[in-house]
Amino acid sequence: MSSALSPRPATVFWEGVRDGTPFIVMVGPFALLFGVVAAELGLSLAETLGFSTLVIAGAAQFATLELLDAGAPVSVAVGTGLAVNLRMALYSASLVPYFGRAPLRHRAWIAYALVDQVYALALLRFQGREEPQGSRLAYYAGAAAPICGIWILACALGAQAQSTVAAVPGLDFAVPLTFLAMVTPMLKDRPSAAAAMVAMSLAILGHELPLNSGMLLAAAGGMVTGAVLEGRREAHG
Amino acid sequence: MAELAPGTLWFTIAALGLGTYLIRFSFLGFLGGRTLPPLALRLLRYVPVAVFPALVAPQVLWPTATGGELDMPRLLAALCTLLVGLWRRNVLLALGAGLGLLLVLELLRGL
Repeated sequence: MSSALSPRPATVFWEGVRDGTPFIVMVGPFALLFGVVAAELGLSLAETLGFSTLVIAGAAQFATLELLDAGAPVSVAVGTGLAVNLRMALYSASLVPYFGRAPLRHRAWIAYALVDQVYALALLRFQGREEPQGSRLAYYAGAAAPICGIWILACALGAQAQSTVAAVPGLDFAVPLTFLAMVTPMLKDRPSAAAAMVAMSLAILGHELPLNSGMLLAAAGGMVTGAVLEGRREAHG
Repeated sequence: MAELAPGTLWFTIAALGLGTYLIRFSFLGFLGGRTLPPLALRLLRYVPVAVFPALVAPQVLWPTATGGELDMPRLLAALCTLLVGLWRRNVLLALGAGLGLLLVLELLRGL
């Protein structure tokens, strides 16, 4: 591949920023909501910012806070939060083909910014597109900047402006809708569609299993379904 | 918030932060440039299409905001997002349609 033909990293970075920026509209409200809830539970601004910068994982932050509030032991609160985040090990593994050979200092910040929306944007771009690693790094950084930035900023804003935010209806549902919208363009062949259907059904059946294990089993079931159907399709030519 | 011993909250934040980082770093960090076996690569291709629906399905049927009660506006908003997404293959259009519908239905409910 000739590097003269590939676009400059700065150009690709801005493509990432362009693709990531609209997600401010969905990540922002969820982050505001976390700030509101944290402030209502009596967390200081520093503690709220501690959560949003050190953890950057919405669902886990909510789960952990709720459990602490309910008087659960710290070990249970942290364990549940980590179980909610265990899906990110799968994200980490599925980025290995794209970033596995990048220097450690790059992989270190890639891991820090590996939130759901950044991951989905990266995969939407990388799947089926050949480009040099420098471009991929630049795109990932560009997509992560607005998404991680707004998460941290809006958590702090929500903590400061509690009452106004809590009044907007439907904000709680912005994140599930984001995930649904992001997955639809990926359902372009039969194995992918079947994987999604199986994962959805298993997650519904197993939603009462402890420690988020229903979701993880459902994801595993979906992945196996997709891989088996792909293998069968190849075997039949 | 239940009474917490001093430092407990910061301990929780640090433990959750460190654990979450290690989960995110795991394969990317420790596996590095080693090539994955073809079967693993094939399975990993289906991570996004399996994880996101598995995350969303229970939240659609039992939303936190309604205390786990099935909620018609949220169900319809999810179906709208899915259908528009499948039809137009456009993430933002699908999301705008679903969120817009939910906002309208929520405002109507308030009347």
